[in-house]
Amino acid sequence: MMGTDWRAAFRVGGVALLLFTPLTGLVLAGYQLEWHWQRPLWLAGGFGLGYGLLRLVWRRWLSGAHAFGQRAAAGSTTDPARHRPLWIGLALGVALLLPFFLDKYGINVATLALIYILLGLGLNIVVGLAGLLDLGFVAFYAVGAYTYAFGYHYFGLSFWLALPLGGLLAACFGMMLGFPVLRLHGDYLAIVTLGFGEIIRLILNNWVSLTGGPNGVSVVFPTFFGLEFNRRAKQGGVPLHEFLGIDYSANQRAVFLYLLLLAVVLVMVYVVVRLKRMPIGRAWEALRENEIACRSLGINHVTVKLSAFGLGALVGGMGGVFFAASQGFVNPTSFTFFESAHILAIVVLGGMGSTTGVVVAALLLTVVPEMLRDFADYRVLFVGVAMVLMMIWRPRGLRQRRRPVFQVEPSPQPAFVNPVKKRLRGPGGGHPPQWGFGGKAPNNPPNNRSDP
Amino acid sequence: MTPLLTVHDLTMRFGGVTALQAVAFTVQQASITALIGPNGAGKTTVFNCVTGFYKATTGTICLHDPQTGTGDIDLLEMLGESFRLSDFWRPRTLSRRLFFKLFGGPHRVNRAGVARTFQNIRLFDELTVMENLLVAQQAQVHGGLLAGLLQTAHFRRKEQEAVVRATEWLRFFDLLGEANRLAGTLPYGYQRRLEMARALCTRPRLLCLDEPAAGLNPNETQALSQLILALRDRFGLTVLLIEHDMGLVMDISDHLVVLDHGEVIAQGKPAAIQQDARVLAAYLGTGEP
Repeated sequence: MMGTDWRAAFRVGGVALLLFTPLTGLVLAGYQLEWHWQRPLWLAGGFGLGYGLLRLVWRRWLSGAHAFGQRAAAGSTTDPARHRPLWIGLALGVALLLPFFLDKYGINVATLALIYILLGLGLNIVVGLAGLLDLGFVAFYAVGAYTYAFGYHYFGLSFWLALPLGGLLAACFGMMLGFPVLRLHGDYLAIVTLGFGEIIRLILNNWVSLTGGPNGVSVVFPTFFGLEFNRRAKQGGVPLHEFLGIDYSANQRAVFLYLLLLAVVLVMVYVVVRLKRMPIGRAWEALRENEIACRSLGINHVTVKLSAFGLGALVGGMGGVFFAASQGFVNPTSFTFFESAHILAIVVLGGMGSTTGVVVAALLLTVVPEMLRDFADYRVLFVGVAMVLMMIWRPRGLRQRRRPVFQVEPSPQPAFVNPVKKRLRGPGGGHPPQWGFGGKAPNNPPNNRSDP
Repeated sequence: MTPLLTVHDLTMRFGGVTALQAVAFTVQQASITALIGPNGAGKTTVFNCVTGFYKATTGTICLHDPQTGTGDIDLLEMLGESFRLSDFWRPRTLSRRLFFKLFGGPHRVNRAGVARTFQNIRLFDELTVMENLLVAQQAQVHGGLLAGLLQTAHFRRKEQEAVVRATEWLRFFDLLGEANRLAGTLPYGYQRRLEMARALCTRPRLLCLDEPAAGLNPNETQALSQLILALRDRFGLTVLLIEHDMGLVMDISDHLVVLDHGEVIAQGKPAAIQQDARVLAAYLGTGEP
């Protein structure tokens, strides 16, 4: 396989050489041609090498279906991607060290990216795993953010209490949405959830006496075990920099929030990865594939759907609490339908059900628009083009969901030919499997009646 | 012989259309009962009623428990019956009805011990073969959310048990080599067998097969009949099947129920059914009166 890669690279290099020789090798200077023979060679070499590397990378890491086939053939229980721990370690290291090399703006962008990862993970449970198209996911994000805002504003709730509470409240809202839409699928479900998202936003916008309407609510910054991040603490408090005996820097609070959010994101990534291999995660996917078959197998589709809505909303709500904390202020304009579409784009671009894909897509769709601030008008165009390109080249997302591989011992002989004569033998011993129904099997000989 | 399933006076109406009219039959423990009849006779409707996918208009469907003898399970009650006036001075009945209204449904019927396959195969296409079988064991392995997240020893043991049980059924159906393939990519014949294996993973007492031989070639049909016999003889399983392949039906079934226009027109041993005038008339038509 390597050979074909390099041969193709060589071909690309050759074509590049043919093209670039007249284009860059010959330079008209005054009235005579100058001959720069190194230029086309360098360019052709670069193109060939680049093409070869790109192909290799594509084959190795990006092509999910290919990897799956290989693994299935190998039949190993462990993840075959040997480079995986290395990649994860590298990404973690970069994520941990990143805030110390960025300015405040950079850290804020990174924090926003992490919030979108959280939202993407939440929506991925609902859309990617359970297959319930939710266009109003931003409602749960808003519930989380406003839980912290109201909690602080009305009850003096701290960030640390608001974080679980915001998640739980969002989960409650998720189940509340889930109940009426139990029988809905596809487009119908999408419309209802879209309406739900808008209802939440409109309530926040119009119930001015409670929510402050478009003026929003201000939020206090979280403390670290009671230590504040300000230059001067409020009455009786001790600011963190005094406690640690270091100089005050405005970056400290942003770094703190970033690291805290990173920890929560890591926990959530772990939770989602585990969920996919747990009975509940399998039930979600089974429900997405075929609801009727699910019911015939003793799975209560009501609880399974509600748990998907609830857990997805829980993750989204926690993202909302972090959003409120990082902005220091919430108002309804942050929770428009565009936000829902953005989160959905992250899930679809990343690949339905794939955690890695969602993380990569969230980073892409948050960081790239920030980097291209000058082209802000073309932001939606960029997302659209990315989607179209994806539909052409990777219709199932950047990263296809990989199925877990189970170790089974190979069958010694075909049992289907005459199963009556074959003895069942478990991997653990010679006992036949235990069935719930038991009972003595009557040993009737097979009836051999002729056809009518 | 002890009965496992008793269907009595089963009537199913869809609006003005009476699909089933006072259908009654029993299925004996550890036997193979076949439901036959011309197209549109109501065979699949009976199946859907027995497995809880339709709520019968009137009648009773009872699953007996011959082992413990603790009493019969009313399969219709599990689907959530409508309230009656008399319930309001019988709080026990009321609370049972309310419970099944809220949490009832076909899944309860399955947990009571009735598993089924479908005429048009319904697998989880994007899941692997093994995962299909693990989903079927959901009701048995379901541990707590926390236990799964922390991967406690208990949770891992349960999962391992589920994998072992699934492996046994894969071996029985000769699908072991396909365990990690996506179910949707399997050839048709394999999919049929996988659906049976999946139904069996729910540990049923009664297995309902809706046209298991549809689309199989003669060799596969032959092998299938051996498999169904093995299920009865070795595991003491009771099988209720719908089938159009008369060769298969006459070969393996202990008892036949013939339906036509939503009514049972004959039932009995295969040899007797072959001679029955009404059955012949239903299948072949009658001559001029």
